[in-house]
Amino acid sequence: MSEKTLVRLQNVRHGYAIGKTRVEVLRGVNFELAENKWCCIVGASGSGKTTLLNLIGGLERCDSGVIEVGGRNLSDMGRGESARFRARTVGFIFQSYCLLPELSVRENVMMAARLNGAGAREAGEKADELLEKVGLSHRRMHRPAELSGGEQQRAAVARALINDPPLLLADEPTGNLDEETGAAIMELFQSLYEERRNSRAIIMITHNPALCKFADVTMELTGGKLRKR
Amino acid sequence: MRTEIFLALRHLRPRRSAVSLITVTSLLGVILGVTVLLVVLAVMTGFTERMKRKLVETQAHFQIDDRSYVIDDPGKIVAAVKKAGGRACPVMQGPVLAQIGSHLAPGIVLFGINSEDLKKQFEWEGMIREKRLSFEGTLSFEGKGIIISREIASHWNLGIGDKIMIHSARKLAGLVTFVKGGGVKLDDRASAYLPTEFTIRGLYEVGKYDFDRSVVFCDIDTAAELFNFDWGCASAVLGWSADPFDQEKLLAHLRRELGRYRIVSWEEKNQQLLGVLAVEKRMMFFLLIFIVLVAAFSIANTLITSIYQKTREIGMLKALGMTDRGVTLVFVLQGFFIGLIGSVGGVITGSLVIAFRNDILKIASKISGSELFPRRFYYFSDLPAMIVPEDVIFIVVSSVLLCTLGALLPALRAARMDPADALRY
Repeated sequence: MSEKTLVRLQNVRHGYAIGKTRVEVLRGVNFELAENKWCCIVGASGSGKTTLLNLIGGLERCDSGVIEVGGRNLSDMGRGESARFRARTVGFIFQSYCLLPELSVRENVMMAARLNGAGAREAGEKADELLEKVGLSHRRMHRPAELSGGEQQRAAVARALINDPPLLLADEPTGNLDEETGAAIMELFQSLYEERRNSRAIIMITHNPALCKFADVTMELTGGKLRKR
Repeated sequence: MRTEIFLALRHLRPRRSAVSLITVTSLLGVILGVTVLLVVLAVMTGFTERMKRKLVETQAHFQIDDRSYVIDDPGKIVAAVKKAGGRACPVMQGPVLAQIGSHLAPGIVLFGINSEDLKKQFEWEGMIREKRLSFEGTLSFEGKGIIISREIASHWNLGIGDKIMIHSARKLAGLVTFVKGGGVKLDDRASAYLPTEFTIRGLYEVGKYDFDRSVVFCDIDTAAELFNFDWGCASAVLGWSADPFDQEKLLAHLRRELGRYRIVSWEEKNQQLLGVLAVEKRMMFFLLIFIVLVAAFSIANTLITSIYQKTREIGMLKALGMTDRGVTLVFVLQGFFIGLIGSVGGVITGSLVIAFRNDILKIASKISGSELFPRRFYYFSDLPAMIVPEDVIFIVVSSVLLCTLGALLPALRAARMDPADALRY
């Protein structure tokens, strides 16, 4: 069975202006990821890993080159279209969890589904199901501040998965957690990935080479280019 | 839209059991502004309405007069008014100078009227019975009787049965004639001039200060004599309609019927006063809306701070797929809800202040040691107020609009944020 390409980057260049100086972070990145692959990207701090993830997730627009996700060129999308793309296609998991402090865990998970057009009832049912899976059903009415780091990240995982997106983007998902909790999160991550082994791709960036064992492919971002490791 | 409303309300109430301090201070600003607006406008409206009521109680609803000052046959006009469905009576009125002993009291207006008309047409009989008019003595002008106000009586230390002399300015003026080439000549009768002496028969108190301070009543024929007119004449015919606030049809009919006479409604007669009151109310609204404007700026200010604090959250919402429009709505709705809740709170607080206004005034007068609403300057002993639904709607709509607009600028700033930049913040 041939594997369909979900993510394709062609000669992607991107940089930032720092004062009068332009810093080129990505200098012609070429990359392809099939719809059922887990890719781990490693690299030194400041190498542009998060920038690359933001570009793939449609959070930023590249200076030049082509980024296609699910066959759609992200550069052609307007701001509204880009927002809808993120809601439908991408699930984000951040190092600092980024849960909304005013909402309960359940509401945080539901929010992603609501922004993707789900009704309150449907979103609630899905959130309950996912919170059960990540072992947080007893904490669903708690606010993020009342949860431990591991619990918050599990809630963030549930939120990323609620719309059943074909692409998961994880930026240092265990970066703020101790080793044991980090390992538990990775196990959870893997089990959820295995559930939809054939129709979900994951791009995870990390400092920790030990986490690459979960991935099908490991790439290294260095000198603004992506190389297979 | 529901998600945006949900998030906006959550931002206003970030803790489960408490409303955020930022929300409370913003709300208080709006509540205060709306309360002040409502109270001031209600007092202005109440004052205007009470003034109108007093005017129609103390004045005729319309006055018919002749440009030549005198109406020779007022009976014809009275009959025409009655036929048209109103009621009317002739009067002889004019400025006089009262003399009490050796003291002179200027600024007095003498109303010559038939005592039966005073009872029935002016409705004094009914007003006294219903205690809308305070009166002592008899409603009679027998034996050159005069009815003066308690205000005048207490000022000059007068009582029922006391004498008062009245000089007619018109009669005095008639004693002097201007001669060609300059200079004046006294009439032959000047040496025989005597003021008219009246006996006080009654003391009234309408409760409208300028009326009480100046108006005295006597018999119409005595007044005609005093003003140098023939008996049976009138300076005007005063008329009353069934509804003084809706008498345009009647007046239009009378204007057609009595073409040569001038007909002036009570509103036209007092148009300057009523106009000033209307302008004052509009000015008050214009000035006091600035309080709400300041509250709107405070909302903008707190939202700008809040948006800085929530930069990462905004980034996250955008990462989850919230559109720029959605983010704008979340923050604009916060301004809208603060405006709405604040306005409702302001209307409730304002209504309470209005309900207890006179008690508040009493306490404030006691504390300050001075009368805050002196009767001698205003016409009433209590503070009138009237809440008009249109005013409430106008205040609420203006306040909600200002607060929503106040939130718009920070909301647009939040919407323009780049999600990646916001998440990096």
